[in-house]
Amino acid sequence: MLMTNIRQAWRARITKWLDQRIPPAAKHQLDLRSIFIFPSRFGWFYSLLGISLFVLGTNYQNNLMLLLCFIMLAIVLINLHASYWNFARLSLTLNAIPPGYANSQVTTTLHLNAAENSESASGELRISTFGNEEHQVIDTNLFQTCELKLQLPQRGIHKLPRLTIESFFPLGLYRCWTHLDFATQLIAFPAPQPCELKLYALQEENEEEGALVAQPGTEDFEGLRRYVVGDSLNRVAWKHVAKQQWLSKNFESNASVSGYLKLPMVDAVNLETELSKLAHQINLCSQQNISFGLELGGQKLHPATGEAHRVKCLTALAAYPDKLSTVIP
Amino acid sequence: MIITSSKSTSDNALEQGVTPFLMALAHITLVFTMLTPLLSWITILAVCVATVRCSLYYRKQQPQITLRTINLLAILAAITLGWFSLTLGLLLTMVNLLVMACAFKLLRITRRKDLTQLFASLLFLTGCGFIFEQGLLYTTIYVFITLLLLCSLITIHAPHMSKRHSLSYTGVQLIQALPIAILLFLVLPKLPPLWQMPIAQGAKTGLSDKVTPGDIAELSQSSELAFRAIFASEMPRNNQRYWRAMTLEQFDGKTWSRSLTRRQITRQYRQLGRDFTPSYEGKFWDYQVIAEPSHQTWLFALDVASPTTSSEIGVNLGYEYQVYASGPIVTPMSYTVESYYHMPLDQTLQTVDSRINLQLPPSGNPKTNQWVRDLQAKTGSPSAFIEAVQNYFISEDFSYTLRPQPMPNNPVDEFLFSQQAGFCVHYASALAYALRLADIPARLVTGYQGGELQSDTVISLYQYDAHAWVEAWIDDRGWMRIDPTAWVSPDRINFGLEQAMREEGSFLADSPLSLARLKNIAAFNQLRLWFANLDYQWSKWVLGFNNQQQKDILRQIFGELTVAKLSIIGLTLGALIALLLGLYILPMMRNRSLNPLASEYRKSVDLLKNRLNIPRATLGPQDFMLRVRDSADVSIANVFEKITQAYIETEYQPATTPIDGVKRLQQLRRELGRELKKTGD
Repeated sequence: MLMTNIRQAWRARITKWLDQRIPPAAKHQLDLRSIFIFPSRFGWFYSLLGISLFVLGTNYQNNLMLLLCFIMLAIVLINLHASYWNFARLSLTLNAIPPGYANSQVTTTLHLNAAENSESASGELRISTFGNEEHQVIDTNLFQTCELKLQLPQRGIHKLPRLTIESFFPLGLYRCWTHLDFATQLIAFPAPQPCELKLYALQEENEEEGALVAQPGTEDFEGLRRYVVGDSLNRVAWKHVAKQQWLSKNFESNASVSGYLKLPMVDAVNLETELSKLAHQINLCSQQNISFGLELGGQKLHPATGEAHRVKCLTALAAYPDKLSTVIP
Repeated sequence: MIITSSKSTSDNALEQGVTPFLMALAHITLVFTMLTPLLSWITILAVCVATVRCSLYYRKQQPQITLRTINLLAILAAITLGWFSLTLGLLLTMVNLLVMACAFKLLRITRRKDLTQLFASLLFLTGCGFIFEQGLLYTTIYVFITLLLLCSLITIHAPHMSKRHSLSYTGVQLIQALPIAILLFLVLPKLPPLWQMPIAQGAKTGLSDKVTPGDIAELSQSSELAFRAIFASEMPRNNQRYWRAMTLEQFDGKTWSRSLTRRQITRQYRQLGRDFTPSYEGKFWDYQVIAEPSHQTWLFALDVASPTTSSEIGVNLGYEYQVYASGPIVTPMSYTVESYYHMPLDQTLQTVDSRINLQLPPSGNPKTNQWVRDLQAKTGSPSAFIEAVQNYFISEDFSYTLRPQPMPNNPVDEFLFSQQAGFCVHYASALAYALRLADIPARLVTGYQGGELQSDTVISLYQYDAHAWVEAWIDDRGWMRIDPTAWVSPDRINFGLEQAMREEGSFLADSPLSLARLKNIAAFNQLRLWFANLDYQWSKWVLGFNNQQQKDILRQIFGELTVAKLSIIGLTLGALIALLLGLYILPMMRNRSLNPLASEYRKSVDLLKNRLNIPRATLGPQDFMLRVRDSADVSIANVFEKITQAYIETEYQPATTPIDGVKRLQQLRRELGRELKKTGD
């Protein structure tokens, strides 16, 4: 418990320090401020090998062995610079990250040589998010852009964590790395959960409760059918009831119907489920080309159709309980 | 939020990649440079592994052998090697073990770690290779192997870099590393050995500390270099060049060896700290010797030698006038000597020397005994006796041959009275035995005779120059050198072995490809001499470079070495290396343009931070602009808004050329500066 606390505090400290050292930016040209370099595990191993060669050469009084050892030492020195300057050729930008459903995978593109320097970096790069082991490998000798596969977290609008980029080029003696913040957001829509469509009628601002205008297949009057227990009372043909005939009105779907999707009053436990249901309904409306609006707590999105509207609504769901305007500039 | 791992490089990609192939290439090349120290079955194993690697790389086959099979094989091989190790000695066992382990590792590569481990083992083996071979040719091969290994390391981290590119990349790095390494080599102090290391046994040499003339059917000759001498003074003539190496004072009727009594006495003297320090006088030859590794302790010098190299290198003079090192010579060793050639060898205790050198085998060689008794009766003095023996050798038609008949029983009898043909050891052995029988102290000396003039000052001695002669203590003149071979074959002493063996055609008969056999062809001889000279320079400046030479060089540059000067030298070394590194980085720096726009923007931000103390912290440009508007004057905020806009426009809309953007930002920054000054006043 204590350990995790310390680790978290440490992590927070590091993040704060990193924020000052490498401020968020859309584009990063790696330089002295942003590059970290330290001998890798193999680098230490290699040094140990050099020392043992030195001892061997001294004990045998063998000048050639000593020369080999000194050449190894010189290579360590040269590689410190070679790996740094190779890494410093990177100039990175990240494409906008497309929004996606929670816990799904989205793909974005990382450009490695945005400044179009005369020469680009060589060797493999390992890209991971800050503090995570799982990484993606990209060979800069083959590609200048990298398809980055990101696993979205739970619903919400998140800051893209720092990306850790490391390189062991050329000999693996040094590890060059950096933690970059691309100042972008990740938008994770709630994952749709199948349910019935509930569309509320357009209403005046002051009205307390709008009437339910639509349920599945209840849009346009088509005819009458025998009443079945469980049919909505709204559909009962009361005129016929007076004649002792229990009949229900039958409606046909129609695009011209429009209404609001509403987040019912729920407790925190069921909130996510309800949002997931709303996401499903938004998709359903969009598919059937129904003009719909969205009412989420205090904010209201006016009815419209089209893909842009769908994304906007889903984004509002992702942002809930924050207002859309506060998160999307 | 995590990045999903891309499918990691599959095992096959690692197995069929270029890295293991390059490592296998380095491994097999290493094995071929170490054929002598390696066991033959390990060599065969290495060849098999190289074949497997080639087929995996070129034909992209699947690895067939399972890890379990390899482990089983490795255990079997280790047991076999353990059995062989009893005869091999520690050093050779270790080298064989390492080569074997690398071979098995190369058979199956599943992780990157395997590759780095292989790299380390192979590089270490390359270093070990220098224990066995230090010639120019082998050094070139080892440099090539190092290049291959570094190149294979690059291919781990940049698998798709073109092969030529990675090779030239490592080549450049190696060339860049060389000057730094040489600087370190010249300046870093040479430490004495930290502890005794195991040495290779059974190294072949022209000499050994036991000589059994009767057993040798054919003298095996080798054109390998034994040592070189570089004369600072005038040079001795061919027949004056008797290079003493060992004195054999014990004879059992067949074999000459080093005397046990002598060893005991030497040990006692050493315990008492009484070194042999004769008083030198007269003319001397002044020269430096570079001895090739012989894995023995004896060194080479002309009589009477006075080693002038400081004792820290460990060159001593023994009571038999021989020069020896304090440890086995495993790498070329350089030392300087003065040889006082007019001095008699009479400064040891006659009583001791006589007692040791009148020792006789209890029985055997009856004919010789009888012959000596007869001769002694006829002659009176020791010199007359020696003359009588000389007359016998000359009159009896003795011949010099490198292919004598074996003489297993009573070898001296057989040589003197039936075979009458042999080489230096036969003559020397017979004479020394005869002298002892005649009550004249005598002993066998082995060493080298003659040598080839390499230039006006340099003499090279090869293994085929090995020779044996006799020393006798006559009256009070001390030890006198008598060379019976010269009586029989004066050519051997005056012109060298090659000339003497022209008729018999046995010179270097067992090494038909030796360049030394082609001396008659002018062009070849020139080439041979040129190579020999190159090799000499290599030995002198690289292999033989020692503490003494290092101090001399530093003294030449910096004058007398004081502590203050040494620290200056250290600092200069550091500065020089830094300078070299700077030179190497320069081209890399030129290739890279900073993002000028961002750095220009950052300057404005820093300006605000310094003057008005508005930290940017983690804010994006837009947000920071808002903060500036909150906390700074309107005029400043207005200018900064322009800066922010210009920055965002050019940065995020690549349509505008960044150069214009930078210029505009510069302009605005100056404006900002002016505004800041205004409000500051």
